[in-house]
Amino acid sequence: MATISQEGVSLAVPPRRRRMEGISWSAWIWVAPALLLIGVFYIWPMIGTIVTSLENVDTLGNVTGFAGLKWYKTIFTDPTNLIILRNNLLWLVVGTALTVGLGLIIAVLVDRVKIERVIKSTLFIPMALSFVAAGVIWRFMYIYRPAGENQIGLLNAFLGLFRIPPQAWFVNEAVNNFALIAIYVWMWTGFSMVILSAALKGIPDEIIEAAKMDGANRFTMFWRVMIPMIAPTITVVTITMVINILKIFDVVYVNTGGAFNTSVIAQAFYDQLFTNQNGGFGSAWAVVLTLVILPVLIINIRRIRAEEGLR
Amino acid sequence: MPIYDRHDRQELDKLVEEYTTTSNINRRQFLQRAMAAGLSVSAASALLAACGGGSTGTGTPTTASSVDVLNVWSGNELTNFQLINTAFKKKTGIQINVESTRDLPTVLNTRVKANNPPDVTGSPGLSQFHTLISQGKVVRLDTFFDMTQVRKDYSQDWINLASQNGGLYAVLPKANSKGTIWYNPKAFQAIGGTIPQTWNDLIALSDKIANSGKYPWSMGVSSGAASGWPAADWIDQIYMSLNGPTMVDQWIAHKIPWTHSSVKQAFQYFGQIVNGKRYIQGAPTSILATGFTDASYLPYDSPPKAYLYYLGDFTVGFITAQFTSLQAGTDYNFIPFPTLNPQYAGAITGGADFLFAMKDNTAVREYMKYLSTAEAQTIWIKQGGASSVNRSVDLSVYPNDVQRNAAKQLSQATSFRSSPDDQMPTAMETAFWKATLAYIQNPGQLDSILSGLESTASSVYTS
Repeated sequence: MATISQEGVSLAVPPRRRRMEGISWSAWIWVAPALLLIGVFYIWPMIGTIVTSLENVDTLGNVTGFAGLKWYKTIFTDPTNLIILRNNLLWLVVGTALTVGLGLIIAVLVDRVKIERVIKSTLFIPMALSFVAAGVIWRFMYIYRPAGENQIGLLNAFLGLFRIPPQAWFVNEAVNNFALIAIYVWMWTGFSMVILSAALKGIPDEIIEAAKMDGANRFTMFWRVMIPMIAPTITVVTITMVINILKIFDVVYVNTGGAFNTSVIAQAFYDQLFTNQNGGFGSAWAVVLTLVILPVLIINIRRIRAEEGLR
Repeated sequence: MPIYDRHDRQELDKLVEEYTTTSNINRRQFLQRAMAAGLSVSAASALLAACGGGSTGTGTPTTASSVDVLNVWSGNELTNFQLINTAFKKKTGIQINVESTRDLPTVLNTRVKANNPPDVTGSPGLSQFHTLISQGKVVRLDTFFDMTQVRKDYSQDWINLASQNGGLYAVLPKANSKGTIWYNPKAFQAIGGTIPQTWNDLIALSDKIANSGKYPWSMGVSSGAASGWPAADWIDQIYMSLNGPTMVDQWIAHKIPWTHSSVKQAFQYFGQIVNGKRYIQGAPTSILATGFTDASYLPYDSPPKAYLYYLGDFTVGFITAQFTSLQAGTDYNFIPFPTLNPQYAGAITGGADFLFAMKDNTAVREYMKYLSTAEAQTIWIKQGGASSVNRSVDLSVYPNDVQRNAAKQLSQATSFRSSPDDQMPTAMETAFWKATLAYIQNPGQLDSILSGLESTASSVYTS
């Protein structure tokens, strides 16, 4: 049975490489709608944004002159803007590491535990909340009252148990970025965990058993069997998180609005375009954001191609 | 369907642009030129009607039976506003649909750019109000208002505030004084406090309370993305009290640089309150981390956690919502902002709520006329939490003496200016707010904070 069905599968796969010269005019008709949509909704606006980022635009939206690289120079030299770039980097490293890392650890730990479903559902619930709702919930976690007052925020009440003075989590610049990242991690760890957990369940039992027979202990099993087996999934989750985090906005906007050096690229973009109505500067931020995300997208496309090539 | 050639099309675009942004051409000329560009009579009139939201406001408006209003009011304010709308509907049968958003500048901006403005909108800020007028997006009101009545109802200062280039563009449903320091009279008497007349009195009073081991002041400037505005209000009022309206106007127009000694001085006066470490519990962190509404409650706790709190007269709304049993006058009241410079005693800053129309039709006209009347404004005033600048509103309708005095402070001010930060370009305003946060955190950095503001100003005001 097994052999027959395998043969059937291999027959169904079409020959992979076809010569390019065979493409006829009819092929262009099939791809034309897609090309048109991409052109109108991606390429054209993107070119428009790049052009605007090189211009001075007044608050009415009229172009008042050519600015050259002025806005880019401001982004990469002005100290407050450098802090914004630093914050994005911090988000990228800490946020991605925590969501993927914690997601993986939890997925492995709850695997084959009796209450696995309960734990997974609980951790997944924050995903269903909007960032605004999450912001309100975390405001209660982080609420600050001056020392000597009743601390009604959970975190500060907890610190109080150890006689540590209360912290203003969003104001204190040593911790405020991490306080914001924690909200994101709380929301998205569940997502990583569910996907990684599904990948873990997809590892064939034969492999696990064979490793056990060969005397692999739990750590060897984790590092040498599980991780390599689910590596493609880890990559996908990581790339999703990286893109998500690079364009992070809601968490920052709702909680601090970018004050106290917590601004990020998307927040700066919003501030310039909508609050200050500076189209040129806003576009420059948008272009910077696109340039930062671009390599990640390229890596992702290469990976997808490589995977297809493996088949 | 006829297809126009490119040249005619451009001609029409130019015509529409000219008609809506300037008032150089009248309806007749518009029709002639539109027809010259190849439109039929009916198509040309349709085009003219479509541009009718423009600046002239003459001619016969289209009829409509409802008005869509966009504004920032929610909660109590929205309830009171809806009372006015209900009364209007009873009177005229015109339905008012209110859409409320806290992010009005963004929503309005997006809708204007999409050519889908609301019929009537609250103001996103004075500078944007003026921008929209110069873009020709705001309906001019004095062409169909009874201006004799308007001049009778409103003082020239207020008419000026709502006007540009001699045209009236907004109605002012309510206004707020920002020359009010709130306190708890009972607690105040218990510690033997006296009402301060001058800034020195105020500092002496603060020292006296601080020396008795209590906190004289409460302050909170946190307000999400707009954090810092309560501090800017402080500095605005101090600047007005020190330097008077003429210099305020120059400061707003950036004729006075941020590095000017008068600006520095205003920050430093504010600093006397902020940096008096024994003045505010947990300062400076608590100031930055506390919301402006939460901070307003402290004088009314028992025992009081603070004695004085500065913010505009809308603070009444926060106090009465939190402590429903408090009586106006005996449990809460305000001290007029003390005199800093005898020359400008009684000079106050404040804010007015604007409503302006972006589409012209019969319903909108009726509605705008109604909103500016004493009849409509009385409805809100009776509910409390607002002052009317309409002189025909009877002072006896205010629910209590505190509100009446706040209204009197507005109408009897020796000079009045809308808060300077509200009148600056938005980019400058937000930079000012952020600068107040930086100053509260690091008062020693004042010089570099001000030169930072000056470099922001030099890019904001030239572009």
